[in-house]
Amino acid sequence: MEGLKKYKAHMERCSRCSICKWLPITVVKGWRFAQNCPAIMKYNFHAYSGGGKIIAALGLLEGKYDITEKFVDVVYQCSLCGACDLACKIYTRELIEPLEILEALRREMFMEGRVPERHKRMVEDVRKHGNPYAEPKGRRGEWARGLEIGKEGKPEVLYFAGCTPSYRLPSVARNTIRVLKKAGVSFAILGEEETCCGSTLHKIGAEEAFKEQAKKNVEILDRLGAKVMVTQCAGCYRMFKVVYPEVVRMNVEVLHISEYVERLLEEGKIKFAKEVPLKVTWHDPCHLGRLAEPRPKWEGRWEKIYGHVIISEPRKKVVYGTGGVYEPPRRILRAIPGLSFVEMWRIKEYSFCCAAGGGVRAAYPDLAHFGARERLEEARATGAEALVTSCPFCELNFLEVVEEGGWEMKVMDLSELILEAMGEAPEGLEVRR
Amino acid sequence: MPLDRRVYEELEAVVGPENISDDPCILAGYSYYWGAAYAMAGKPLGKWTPFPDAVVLPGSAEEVQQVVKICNKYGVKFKAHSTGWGPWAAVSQKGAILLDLRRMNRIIEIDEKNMYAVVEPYVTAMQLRAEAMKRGLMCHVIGAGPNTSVLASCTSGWGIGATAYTTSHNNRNMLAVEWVTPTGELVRIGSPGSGAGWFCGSGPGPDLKGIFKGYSGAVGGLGVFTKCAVKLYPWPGPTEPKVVGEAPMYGYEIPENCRLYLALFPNWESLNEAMYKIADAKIGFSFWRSCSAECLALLMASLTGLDFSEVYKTLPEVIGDARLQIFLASPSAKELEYEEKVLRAIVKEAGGELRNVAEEPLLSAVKELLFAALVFQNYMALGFSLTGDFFTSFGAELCPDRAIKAIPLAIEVRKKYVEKGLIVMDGKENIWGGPQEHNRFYHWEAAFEYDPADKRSLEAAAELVEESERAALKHRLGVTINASTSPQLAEVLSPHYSNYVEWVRRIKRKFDPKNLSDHGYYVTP
Amino acid sequence: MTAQHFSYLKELAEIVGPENVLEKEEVLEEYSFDYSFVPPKRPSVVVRPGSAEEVRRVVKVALRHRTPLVPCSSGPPRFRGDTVPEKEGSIVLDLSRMREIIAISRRNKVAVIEPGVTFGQLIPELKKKGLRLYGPLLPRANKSALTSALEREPVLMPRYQWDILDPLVCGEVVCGTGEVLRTGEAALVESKEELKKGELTSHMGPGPFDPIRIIQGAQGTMGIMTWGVIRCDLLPTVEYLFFVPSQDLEKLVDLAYALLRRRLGEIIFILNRFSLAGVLGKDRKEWEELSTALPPWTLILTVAGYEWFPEERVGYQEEEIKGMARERGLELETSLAGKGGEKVKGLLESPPEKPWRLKYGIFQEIPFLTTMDRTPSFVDLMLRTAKKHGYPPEKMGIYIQPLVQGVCCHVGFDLFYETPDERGTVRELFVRASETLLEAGAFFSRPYGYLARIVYKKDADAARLLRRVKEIFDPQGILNPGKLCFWG
Repeated sequence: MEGLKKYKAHMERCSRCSICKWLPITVVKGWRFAQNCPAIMKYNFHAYSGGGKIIAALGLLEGKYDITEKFVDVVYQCSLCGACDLACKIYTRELIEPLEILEALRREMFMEGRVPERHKRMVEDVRKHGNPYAEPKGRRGEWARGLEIGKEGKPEVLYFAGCTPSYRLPSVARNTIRVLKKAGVSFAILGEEETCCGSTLHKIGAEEAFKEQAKKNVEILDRLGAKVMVTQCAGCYRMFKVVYPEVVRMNVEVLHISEYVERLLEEGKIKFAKEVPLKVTWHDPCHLGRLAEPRPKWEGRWEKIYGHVIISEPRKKVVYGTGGVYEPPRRILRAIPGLSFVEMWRIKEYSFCCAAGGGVRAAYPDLAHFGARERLEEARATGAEALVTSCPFCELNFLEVVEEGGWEMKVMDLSELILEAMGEAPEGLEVRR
Repeated sequence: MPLDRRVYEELEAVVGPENISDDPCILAGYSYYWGAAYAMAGKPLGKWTPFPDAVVLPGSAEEVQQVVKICNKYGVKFKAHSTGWGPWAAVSQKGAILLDLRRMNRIIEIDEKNMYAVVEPYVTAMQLRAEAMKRGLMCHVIGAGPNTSVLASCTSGWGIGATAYTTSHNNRNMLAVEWVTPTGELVRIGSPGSGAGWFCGSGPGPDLKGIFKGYSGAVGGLGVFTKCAVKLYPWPGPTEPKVVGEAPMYGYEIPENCRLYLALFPNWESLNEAMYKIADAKIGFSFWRSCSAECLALLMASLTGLDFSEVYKTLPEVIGDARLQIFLASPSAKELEYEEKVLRAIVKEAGGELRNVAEEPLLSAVKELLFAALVFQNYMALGFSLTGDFFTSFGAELCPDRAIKAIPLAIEVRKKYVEKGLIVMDGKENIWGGPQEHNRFYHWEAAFEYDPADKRSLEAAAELVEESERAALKHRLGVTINASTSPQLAEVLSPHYSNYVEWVRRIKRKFDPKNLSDHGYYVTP
Repeated sequence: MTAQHFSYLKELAEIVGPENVLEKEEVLEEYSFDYSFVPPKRPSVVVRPGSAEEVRRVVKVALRHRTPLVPCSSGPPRFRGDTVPEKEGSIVLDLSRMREIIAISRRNKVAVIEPGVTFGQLIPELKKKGLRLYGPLLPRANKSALTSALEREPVLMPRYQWDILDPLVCGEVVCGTGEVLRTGEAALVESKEELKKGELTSHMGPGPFDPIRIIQGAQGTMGIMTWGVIRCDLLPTVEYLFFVPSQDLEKLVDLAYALLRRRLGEIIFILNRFSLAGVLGKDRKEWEELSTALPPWTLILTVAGYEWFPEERVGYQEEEIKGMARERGLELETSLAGKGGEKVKGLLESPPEKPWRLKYGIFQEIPFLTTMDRTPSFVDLMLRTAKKHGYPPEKMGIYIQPLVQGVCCHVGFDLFYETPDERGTVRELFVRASETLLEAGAFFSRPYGYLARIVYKKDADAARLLRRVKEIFDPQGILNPGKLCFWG
C-alpha cells in the first residue's frame, strides 16, 4: 500500500459527516431521490460510502487489520462514480479529495493482486482480445456492415465506437454513423483496428494494462493523423478527454457526439425536421459529466497559515465536475420538435450513477442492476416515457433491468432521437448476445 | 473481540446475513470520528474509537426489539447509531455491538394540517425539510447541519439550530416517541399509547420523555428510539427553493417576501439588549450568529481562492464582532414591512446598524450562498474545512443574560492558544449561537479549529476544552455540550447542580439494570 | 388513635408549628372530598408548611412513618379529585401558606412563585410589571397558579406555546425520597438574591433528563414543588377582542388552523353557546338567557400591539384575519349578545372569586387532547352519547382550546347537575362517555379519577414505565398514592 501512504494525511481528515452519501445538500428536493451512492444504498454499512472506504483503508494502513474478502468487496463494490467526491469537496475542497484516494487504493489493491477474480480475467481479456467481453477481435467491425462507410480521402472526423457498441449494442454505433452520414460529415472508423479505451482497466486499478491500451490507441490516432475524434460512448470520451492526457501526449480534439451534433446544428448541417412526440428525461452519465472535467496536474506543497489552516501552495484547482458535458445534450433534446423534456432530480454534476461502471457490472452484477433500478425509478417518477442517455454501458445496464419486466419505460440512446428528428427511422436499442 | 458465534447466528436470523457483519473493515467505519481533542468519556485523544464486536442493520422496530432481547439474553452490550457524526456515536468500550439504523429511513407520515411529521431514525433533516417545505412547513434543523438525523437530535442528542427563534430546540419539538427500552420492551410514549395518533408525547400523566431527554439525551445509553413525531413550523420562505450557482457554492434565490440582514452592534451587551426588545416586539423568523468574522474570512478565502490576507483584514471591518444574522419573511407584505420597520428602529436604538445583505456591496454578490448557509445551515460542515477538525465549548441553553457570560470567558480562555499558534487564528472568539423561542433562552457556544495531526495542536485543543469547562463551572453556566457526553465531567459538575447525575444514574439503573445499553457517553451506572 | 399517630403529630407540630397541624373534624371533612366523583376519604391530619424547608422535613416524617402525603395548594372548591386522599391515614399537605411571589422579571417574562400563590394574588402583580399569564381560562381567584401550570391546564395563547410543558419552566421540588431537586435553570441558582433576579427561563435538564416533565402532570405523585417558575406574556399596549360566531364548528376549526398557520392573533379559543353563556353571564339566570341567544359556536380571539407601532400591528393583523374569516363565510364581531369585546377582555383578565361554572351548578369536566380537525367528530360523539344517557345536550359546556401552536388541542366537555338524580345521570354519562371517547381516540393526557383507570388500562406500557419512574422519585410510594396508575 505504498502508493496509498502519501494520501494518509488526507484520509485522516475525514470527519465522518456522511455527506458523501448524499447529493450536495442545497440541491436536495425531497426524501426519495436525495442519495447519491448506489453502493451504500444497497449494502448500507458505512464502509460502502466514500468516507467509509477511506476509513476502511486507513485502518489497513495503520495495521489494525489485514485485507479480507470483505475488504476487497468494499473497495470494488463501487463504480468510482465520484459522487462522494463532489459532495465531500464542497466542504473540504482540496483537503481530502476522496476520488483520488479511492483510485490510488485500487491501484494498490491491484498491485497486491487483491481484486475480484473477474477483474483479473478482464485484464487478460482486454490484452488478448482488445475488449472486456472476450469477443473476437476480428468481429469488432461487424456492426458497420452495410453502412457503406467510405475509406478514401482525409476524413474530418475519426469515429470511435467503443467496445459496448461494437459487441453488445451495435445499433448505437449504427445510428450514430447514420447521423454523421446524413449530416454530410466525412469520417472514418477503426473497425477491427479499434481497441478498448481501457476505461475499466483504469478504474479497477490495472494501471499498467490501462497504459498499454492508452499507448495503443494514441499510436493509432497519431498514425491516422486524426484531428478530431468523436465518440458516443461516455466512458471512452472520458478516457480520451481526461485520463489519457494524464499519461500520454494527445494530439487530437476529443468530442462527444452531443458536442459534435450541437456544432453541426449550429452550422446548419443537421436540421430537425420531424416531430418526435415523446416525453423524455436525460441521464447524465458520470463519464460524460462529473468525471469528464480535466484534472490539472498539481505539484506543490502543503502549508499552514493563520495557525493551522491547511492550504495547498500553489492553490490546487479543485475539480467539481461542473465542466462536464451537460448543456449539449440538453440543447439537442430541447431543439427536437415535439419532444417534451423533463429533468430528474439528480442531474449534471450530481447525477446518480447507474452503477455499471468501474468493474461493477462484471464482478457484482447485482449492484449494477440495483443502481439501474434506482435510476429507472427516478426516471419513472418524472412521468417520462423514455430514459435517454449517451453511454452504451449505462444503456446496457438499464436494458438488462428493463428486460426483467415491470417497466413501462423505454431506454434510448441520444442518437436514436437525433436520427428520428432528422427524418430517418433509427434502430432501437437491442442487446446482442 | 469476536462475538460469540451463537449470538451472531441469532442476530443474523433476525436481520438476515447481509445485514450483519463482524469484518474489521466494516467495523472500522463506526470507529473513526472527528473530535480528536475530545478526551472525555474515557476516550483517548485521537479520532479512533473502540471497534464494536459486530454491526447489525435492523430494518424495523420489531427487529430492533428482537436484537435488544438477544442482547439481554446473552448479556451483550449494544449501542444505537444513526447518522453518527461525532465520537459519541461510537461504542464507548469493546465488547459491544452497534445497531446501525440506516435501513430505518422512512418518513411515516406528514400531517400538514396539524404540523407534525413522524420519522424513523435515518430520516435526515435535509429530507424532512424538503418534504415539509413543499407543504409550506419547516422542520427545525440542528446546527450540525441537515445531514443529521432528526430523530437522534430529538431523542438522544442535543437540539439547537439557527432558526431556533421560531423553530425552537429539538427537546421541545419532540412529540410522541416509539422506544425499545434497554430490556427490550417496545413502547410508545404519549398519544399513540392510547391509540390516539402521534400529536402528543406528554402523558398520560407525567411526560415520560423527561426520563431520557433533557438538554441532551442518553446518546445510546437508554435503548433505541425507533420512531419520533416532530413538530413542524409554518414556513414563509420558498416551498421549493430555487438553486442558483454551481459547485461548490450552491445558493438559493431569495424570494421577494424574504429578507436577510446583518445587524452589527457596538458590543455584545447592546446585541443582547436589542434581542430582548426584538423578542418583546414578537417579530422575525430567525436570529443567529454563525462565526467570527475572521473565521468567515478564512472560509471564504479558502473556498473562492481570494487572497487570504486581504479578506482577513477587510471582512472583520465590514461585519464586525457583535453581529446577528437576521431573517425576516412573511406571506404578507404588510407584515414584512412592519417587521422591518420595527427591526430597524430597535437596532438603531441599540446603537447598531442594520444591513440588508441583498443591498450590501460585498455581501450581495454571495447573497444566495449566504441564504443557504445562514438560514438553511447547508454549509455547517465547513467547520472542518480549515484543518479537518474543530471543537467547541460552553453551549448550555440558558436565560440570555446568563448565557452571554460565556463570551468574555471564551475570549479569555482561548487567547493564549491563539497567541502561541496552537489553534487557528480565527479571531478573539469564534462564537456561535442565538435566541430560542422569541429569546426565552439562548445558546452561546465557543468553537475553535485545530489540527489533530499536529500533536501540540491536539493537546492544546484538549487543554482549551478543559479550561473552558472549568470556567463554565466556576461561573455556573450549566451543563455544557461537552459535559453532557462526558460522565466523568458530569460527576464534577453534579454536586453544583442539584446532584443531577445521581438521578440520572437511578434512571439508568432502573431502566437498564444489566447496563447493556452503552452508558459511555451518558452516565456512570 | 395510635401511639404512632401521636408521635408523628408531635413531629409535624415541631416543624410547622401546632397551629398549622389541623385535626378538627370540620377541617378534615373539607379536605376529604371535592366536586369530582372520586370517593371521599378523610385525611388523618392537615398540615400547612410555611417554607420549602418545612416541606422537606414533613416529607421526611412521612417517610419515617410511611404515611401517605397528599399535596394541595389551591383553596376550595376543588374539582378534579387529585387532592382527595385515597389511602387511610393520609396527611394532606396544604401549601397555601407558602404564598410568596419571589420574583417577577419583566425582562425575562417569568414569575417565580411559591405553590400557595393564587391567581387572585398574582395577576395584579404581573399587571403592575406589564405582564400577564398565558392562561388558563378564567381561573378562580383562590386557585394556585403554580398548580395550574403543573397540571398542564390549557393556555389561551397557543401561538406562544412551543411545548405542552409551557408555561411551566423549572423549580425546586422535594421528591418522595425527601431529597430536594432543582430542575432546569433553577439548578444553577445559589441564593435567594439570585433567585429574585428571575434569570430562569430554561427548563432543560440539568443534563440528560427533564425532571420538570416528570413532576408536571403527576398530580403530586412524584414530588412536591416548593417554588416554581412560570412564563408570562407581555401585557399588550393595545388589544382588541373579537367574536367570530358560527353555526358550524368546522368553519371555526378551519379558521383556527388558518390563524395558527399564519401566526396571527394572541388569545384564540372556541366555546359552544352554553359555555360562552357561562363566561359572559353574571349569574345562572343570565347564563340561561344567553345560552339561547348566542350562536351555537363562537371563536374568541384578540389582536394586540406592543411597544413598537402597536396600532400598525393590530391593523395589518385585523385586516388579514377579517379576510380569512370572510373566506370562510364568517365575520369578526366586536360584540356579541350585547357584550362588548372590551368588557369580555376585562373578564378574561380578572380571576373570578368563584369558579365560573358554579354559577350554573356543580359540574364534571371530561378533558382530553386531540387534534383540531377531530373536534367536530368528538363533539358529535359526545352529544349523541349524552342524549343516549338522558343528558340534555343543550346544557353541555364545550371548550376547545388550540394548543402547542396548533399541533393539538384541548377539548373539555362540562356536564352539569343539581339534584341527586341528575348527579347519577352525569356520573353514568361521565363513565360511559369517557370510555367511548377513549375508544374513539381521545387522549386523556391529564387522567383524573376514573379517567386514570381507563387510560392506564389502555396504555398499560405507560403505567408500567411510570411505576418504574415512581420507584425512583417516590420509592416508598408516600406521595398521593392511588392517583394516576399508582394503585396497590
